[in-house]
Amino acid sequence: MKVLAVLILFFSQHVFALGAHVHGFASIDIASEKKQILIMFKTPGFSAFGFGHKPKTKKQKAVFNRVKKSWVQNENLFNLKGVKCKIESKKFDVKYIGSHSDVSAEMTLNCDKDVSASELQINIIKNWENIKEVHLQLLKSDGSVLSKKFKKSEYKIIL
Amino acid sequence: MKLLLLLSLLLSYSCAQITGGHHGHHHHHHGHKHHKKDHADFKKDHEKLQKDHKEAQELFDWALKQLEGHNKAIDLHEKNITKHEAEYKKMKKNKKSLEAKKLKLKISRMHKEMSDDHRHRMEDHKAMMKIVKDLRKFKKEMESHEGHNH
Repeated sequence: MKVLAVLILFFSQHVFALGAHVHGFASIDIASEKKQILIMFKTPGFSAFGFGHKPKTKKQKAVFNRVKKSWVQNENLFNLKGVKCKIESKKFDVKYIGSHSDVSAEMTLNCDKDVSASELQINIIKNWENIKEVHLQLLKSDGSVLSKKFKKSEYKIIL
Repeated sequence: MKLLLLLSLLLSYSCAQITGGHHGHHHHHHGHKHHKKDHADFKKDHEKLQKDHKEAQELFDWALKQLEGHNKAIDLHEKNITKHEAEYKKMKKNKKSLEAKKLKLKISRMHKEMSDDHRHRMEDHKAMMKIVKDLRKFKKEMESHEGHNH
């Protein structure tokens, strides 16, 4: 059954090729406008909490709440050098699909001065240990989209 | 469905070879006991082939469904991008700057997802074609065998 063996090999490769939901991977999109910064974030639930299902145990619920709180209060996740910012709006949604889940979050920061050319430090890998790699998109002032991948626990970028 | 047809042909061919081979070789030279053993072997092989055939069919159905899914996903991506681009133009006109920028980043993500999907689709296509090549070889072999028998 040579053909069957080849088929099984093909299908096993196929499953891996389909992986849009990749554990340990997150995406961050950033745009700014004068004093405002918009940050959009997506990752599998597993990368955010260490599990993909709905929190069941006390420990899991505590982890879930801690992660959510760190986002909605921006607890040292995103820092702008020399600029003071407040959270204007925030969103933290978790969508469950079977035993998997996807986190989709957003925050808009209102700062005390124009943020263009400011240095933004991203500490998401430092704070959320299950995230190993981030794909960042930054919309520059000239309208171009800068695309970067990083694995650093503290990543700095100029807006 | 061409692949499924080829696979069915291939399995029927393997089945015919096993049954034909066993009977032809042992028929005149051995006693009743061997007939019984042959029959048991044939039954065992036949059951195995049926099981393999069913599994192969299920795998093919699944594969075709996956490939169809890829095509549908690409179509959906294209539709979504067109829709979002129109919305982006409208927002830019109305000077909703941060909202427009948000949409621009979303569109950029969509383009990336679409090109990733496309790359996966091409990888899958390549892997599938390797199997088709093997099936084609089997088909050729089977046809030449059929020609020889006739």
